[in-house]
Amino acid sequence: MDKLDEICRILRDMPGVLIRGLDIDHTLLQEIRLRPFRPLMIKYGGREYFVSEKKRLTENIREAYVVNENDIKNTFLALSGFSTYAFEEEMRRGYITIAGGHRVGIAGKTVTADSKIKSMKYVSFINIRAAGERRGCADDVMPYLFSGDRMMHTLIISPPGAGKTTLLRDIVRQVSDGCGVRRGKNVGVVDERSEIAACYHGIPQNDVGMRTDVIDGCPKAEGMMMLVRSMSPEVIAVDEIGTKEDMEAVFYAASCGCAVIATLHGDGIEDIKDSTHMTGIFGRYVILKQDRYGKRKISVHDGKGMRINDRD
Amino acid sequence: MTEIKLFGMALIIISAAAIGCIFADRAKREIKALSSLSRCLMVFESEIRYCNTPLREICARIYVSGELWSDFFGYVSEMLSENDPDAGTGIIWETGAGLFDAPRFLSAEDREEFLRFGNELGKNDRESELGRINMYIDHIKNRLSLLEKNINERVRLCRLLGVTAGVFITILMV
Repeated sequence: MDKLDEICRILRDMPGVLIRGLDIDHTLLQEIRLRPFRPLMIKYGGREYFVSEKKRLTENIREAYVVNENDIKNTFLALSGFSTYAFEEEMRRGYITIAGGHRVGIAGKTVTADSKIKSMKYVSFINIRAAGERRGCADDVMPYLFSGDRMMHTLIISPPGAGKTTLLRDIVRQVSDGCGVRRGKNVGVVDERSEIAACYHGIPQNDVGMRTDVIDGCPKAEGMMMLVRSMSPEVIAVDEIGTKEDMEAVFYAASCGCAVIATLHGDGIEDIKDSTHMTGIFGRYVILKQDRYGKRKISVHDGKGMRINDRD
Repeated sequence: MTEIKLFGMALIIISAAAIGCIFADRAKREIKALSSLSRCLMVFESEIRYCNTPLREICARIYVSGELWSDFFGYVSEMLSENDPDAGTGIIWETGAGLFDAPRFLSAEDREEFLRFGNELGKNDRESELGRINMYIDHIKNRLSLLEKNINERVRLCRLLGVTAGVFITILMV
């Protein structure tokens, strides 16, 4: 089943018919957006288009198909497998992962209790983001993450949208399967937001390697502890650490002999220098940045902050 | 000639009595169907309350349970898995109700209630869904207690009416 088929399984009514009928290169599809009484929009090959009723991409808003309330309501029902109640936790978080690892963001009226989001009703905005694995994007980084056969504790730092999770996923895959002369290692992934492995019904939809165990939807700190106790991983991967509890769990995992690969929002090593609970454990820092043309630059630093790779 | 007449009379009475028995049997099956449905709904209730299991999986679980409604729920599960773009739960539920035996055993009133329940299933949050299921279970329990209270009289009445109608038709014809 290709990317478009997986996405079209949840699109109902006219949006489903139109998107199914598009003659496009499915690999370039990035996003589909449904908003009530607004044009059906897709992001394709880095550009935004409207979808016309003639099943064509257009930039002319007058030709665009206008999404109605029923399109959204029925799409949301199909998205939840006609079991809205089963996705309350995901609705609270604002997204649902579907087969293929595609992520569907939802927005609407939230129901709150004691200033906390309890649920969401009147889901009116749907954003389907097509999953895109980039196998091999960690090739340039891998040689720097090892000392002999030992994996170093690694922290990937970048601003949002620069590709931290994509890089982490590829590192996990390569560590798990083995890369070059290095043997594969048992990897445990704590995937709190289902972004790394994109599990659907517990099965990873992204390739995270043959020796990888995934604990999905679990809070990071608890997940790391559980993995250490139950799956005896050699490497633990976790996305977007930040709290003191997360770091305590990282220390716990490290003290049990596991190498930790983690990501963090930030611009550089300077961002974590002030954070006392962040320093002192990581032997490698991978800094991701994008230049103004969108080109990604990667620099690898050792535990003291010295750059060790020679090109971006 | 008399023998043929007697044979015809006997046939009419036996047929009418058999029709009476069929109606009596239908009354018994209605009770069986409602009891089985109530057990299926309890599976729904516990699966949603404790495991947040999606409808498709709950229906698949009931399918293997050997209940009277197994085939119906097997069909619903299969159709939900197929994710046909033109079919929602309501349509699948209604189509299934026309295909299998168990829903046919229900009275018109119960059948309508059953379809109404299916049409709304899966569209609400957890609390509302559990509330609806419990309310429907209570409704079925009330119906069952009413039916069970009268079942013996109903069965006897159906059989008696069958025989009586047979005799009556025979007298008319003679």
